[in-house]
This record gives sequence, structure tokens and C-alpha cells, in this order.
Amino acid sequence: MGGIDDDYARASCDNLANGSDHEYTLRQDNHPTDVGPFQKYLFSGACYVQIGQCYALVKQAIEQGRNFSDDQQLRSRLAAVWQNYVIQQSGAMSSAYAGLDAPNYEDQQWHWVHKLYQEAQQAGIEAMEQLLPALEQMDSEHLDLQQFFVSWAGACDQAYSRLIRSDAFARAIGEVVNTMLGAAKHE
Amino acid sequence: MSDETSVDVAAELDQFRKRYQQLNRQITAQQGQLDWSSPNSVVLEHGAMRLRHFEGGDLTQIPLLIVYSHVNQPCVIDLHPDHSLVKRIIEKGHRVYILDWGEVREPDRENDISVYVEEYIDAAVSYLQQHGGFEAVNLLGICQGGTFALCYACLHPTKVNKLVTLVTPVDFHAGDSLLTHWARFLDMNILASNPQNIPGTLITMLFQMMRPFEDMIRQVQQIDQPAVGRKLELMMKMDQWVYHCPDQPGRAFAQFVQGFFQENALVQDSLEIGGNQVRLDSLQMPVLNVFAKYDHLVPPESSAALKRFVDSSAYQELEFEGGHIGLLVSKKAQLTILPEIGTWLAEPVEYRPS
Repeated sequence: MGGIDDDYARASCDNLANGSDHEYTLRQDNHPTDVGPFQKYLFSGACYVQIGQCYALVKQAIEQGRNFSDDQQLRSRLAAVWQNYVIQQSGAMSSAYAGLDAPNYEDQQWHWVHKLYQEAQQAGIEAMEQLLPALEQMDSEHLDLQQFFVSWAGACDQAYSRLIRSDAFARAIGEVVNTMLGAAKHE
Repeated sequence: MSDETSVDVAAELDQFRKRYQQLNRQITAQQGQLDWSSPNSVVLEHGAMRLRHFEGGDLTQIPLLIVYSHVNQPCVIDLHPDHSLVKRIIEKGHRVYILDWGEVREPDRENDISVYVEEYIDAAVSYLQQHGGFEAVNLLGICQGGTFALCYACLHPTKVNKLVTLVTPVDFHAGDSLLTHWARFLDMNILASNPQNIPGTLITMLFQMMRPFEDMIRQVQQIDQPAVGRKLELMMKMDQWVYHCPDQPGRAFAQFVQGFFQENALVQDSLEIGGNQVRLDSLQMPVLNVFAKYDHLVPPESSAALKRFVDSSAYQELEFEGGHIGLLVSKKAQLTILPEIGTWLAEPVEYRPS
């Protein structure tokens, strides 16, 4: 643990940075830990590309006169982009840990980190369950990529805002920090 | 997927990729160091603290000491000449000094809040008294620095001529404060028994976790319609500033979380610094309280609570139609509220309680 994970950054963002056809993969065990002040453009941009790929599926469904709100594959892909982005944010925790002299943290159960991820995952799934029917109600004939992205990000923002104000999340983030501090070596 | 749809979306994403790559090249080419934009010199060092004097201003004016938050780099108030609180205040004729907390070193983990309020701020004030021949100085505190400045003004009311608080948390339980909500579950006894400095990366992480999707929309917009020239320069400096929170001294951090966030001791009259009780009703100078309507870090209700404790004839407040950082950096603030602060500081003091 600790340090920059170039493999992940490449796998996630090649699509944007190099134009390759890599799929955006979710690797909870191996997320980047130090994104740097400007890397956020890469990660946000990579999410945009992923959302663009989901948008293509929606356009196709509209063209074919199919409902897309029940499309499980689409819903999962949209939720995965949320999940990856949220994990990337909280992935900075590893970097924060690296600044503490806490040799025993590696051995902890990561209970509260997993709890955070679980909370985030559930919130993402629920947000997407609401987003797709709402989009279907719109004038989807004229739904463009920008609108689709803003709708997705807006739904994520609302869900995230509720998530981080919940007691469960606050408890989890508090315990993550407590665990870090407790594991730190006493000089 | 139909070929046509697939080609259309792919072409759009390809354009987006090219714009990203272009922005990335610009960022790589223009990346510089985070620093003050206005000329200044260090006139006093006390422990880690450095007192910086900025060039300009009228020597006959009462000096202004700016106290910035400990959790971010102070240079955000002078990142760029067109977006500089420091410059706007100097333009009104004031002599400006900034208390720079300096780099947190390993032994600082044992420092409590009294080191910062009673030693560092007091050392800076004493220097200005001695070198300017003034009985009292003007004090401007920002965010957590505003809370520290408030505490100092309560403890030493005769040393402060006028007090300005900017986006300053006072009642830590007022409004929708996400930081207060998160702080509820922090066990600061762990830190009290094992004081160690808190890495700045942890603070950065917590700030970045507050509204990542708003940030994402902004970043995608930036890729789509990239800023150029000075706008790009400022944007990059802001990105660097946001990303580089300084380390926090362990014991003082624990005291701040426990005393202010969890116990709300400042408004409960139960706060002690260096063995002395901090009472907000002991403020005996004109106070200008400035807060931001859309502040996501310090709810305006938290700042506005100061009104309850200050004599109404000595108290003024200004609400800025913007956010926490916008009040310090935005073009709108440069044209409106920051010059107003400079004007208020220049007005003669009519209020002096018995």
C-alpha cells in the first residue's frame, strides 16, 4: 500500500489520455493513492468518457424505441463510474496514512474503510435507480451528451451530499481517522 | 449499437480526449511554484512563525495584522495580483503584515493552541507595537485564523484597535456544518495520549471529500472550454493550493477539534487558552464580521453568531453573495467586499466602551 499506482491510473485513464480502447475497470484493491494537484482533470475526464460510452447505449435504446430505465447493464455501468470516482476520492486516505508513522495499520481489518465503500456503493446504486427513469421522462429524443453527463453528475452530487451527511458515513470516516491515529507509532 | 450513433459519440469523445491532452500540455508547460505574488519580507521569526511585511501602504496608518487559518497555505490571499486580498487592502493605504504559521516540525506535535494564540500572535502584535509606536494594531482573521484572532482579541482587548473576522466559525454547532458532523465521531483522546502531527494529506483528503461531483463538473468544463493566459495561471495556482494543506500540530489539532467542533466551547464561555478563560463579551473594539452566503466550509450562521456577543454599536457585518474561497479570491470580491473592508479599517474609531 502507499505510493502512486501507475498501473491503475493507466488502466482507468488510457481511454482519455492516449485514446486507447481500454475499458474502465474497477479495482478496489489497487486504486491510485496520490493523484497530484492536476491529475483530477485526468480522473474527471476519464469519468466523462465512461459516461459518454453509457450515453451511446442510451442513444441506441432511444433510436430503437426501447426503454432504457430497466437496463441492468447500463445501470451497473453508471453506478460503477460513481463507485470508481468516489473510491478515487477516498483513495487519498492511503496517501494520508503514508504521512503517519503507522506501521501496524497494514494489519488492521480495514473494517471501516470497507464500511465506507459499502455505504458509497449502495448510495450509487440507489442514485442510478432514480436517474434512468427520470431521464426517460425527459425529452430523450434531444438528450445530448452534455445534458446526459450533467444529469448523471447532478444525481451523483445529490446522492453524495446525502451520503456524507448520514450518521453511518460520518461514523465510518471518523473511525477510519481514529484507526489511523491509533495505529501510529508513538515516538 | 447502431453504427451511426456509435460513430457520432466516438467522434465527440475523441474531440474531448484531444482537448484534455491539450490542457494537459498547457498545465505541464506552465506549472510553477505556489508563492506570494506581492513583494514581501520576513521581519520577525518566532519559533516556526514568520511575520511578513508587504511593500506599500501608509506608514502613519495603524498596521494591519492578518491571521490566516492553520489548515491551508496563507498565500491564497495573494496568489495573483488581480486576485489578492493583500493588494486590495494595501490599495486603501494600509500597512499589511501576515502571520505565516510556518512549517510544522516534529517537536511541534506537543504544541497546544496557546502557542499559536498567546505566543505567535502576541509576538507579532508586540513587534508591531514596538516598531510602529502604536498602542494597538488592527487584526484581520480568516477562517480558523479568525477564530484564533477572536480568541486573542478577547484575551488582550487593549492590544486590538479594530477586529475583522472573515468567514470565521464562531458557533460551531450552527447551520449545516459538514465538518462539525464528521468531527462528532473523532476520538481526540487517541491524539491526546499519543500526540503526533497530522499529515496535511489527511486534511486535503477531508476537504476533497466534501463535494467531489461539483469539482468533477467544473473540471470537465475546464477540459471542454479551457481557460487561457492569466486565468489558467490562477486556476493552476488554486489547484496547487487546494492540494497542499500543511501538516497540523497534533495536540493543538486535538484541542481544536474537541474544544471548538465537539464542545462548542467558544460560545459556551467554557474555553480556556493558556489557563485563561476566553469570553466573547470581553471584545472591546469595533468589529467587522464578514461571511459568505454560500460557504460550504463555515456556514454563515456560524459566523453571524458573533453578533450575539458584541455591543451593537461596535458591530457591523457584511454578507458576501458567494462561497468561502470566492470571498478571498473571486473577481467579484476584489471589486466589492475587499475594498469595503479597507475602507472600514480606515474610518476613525468612534466606539470605545468604558
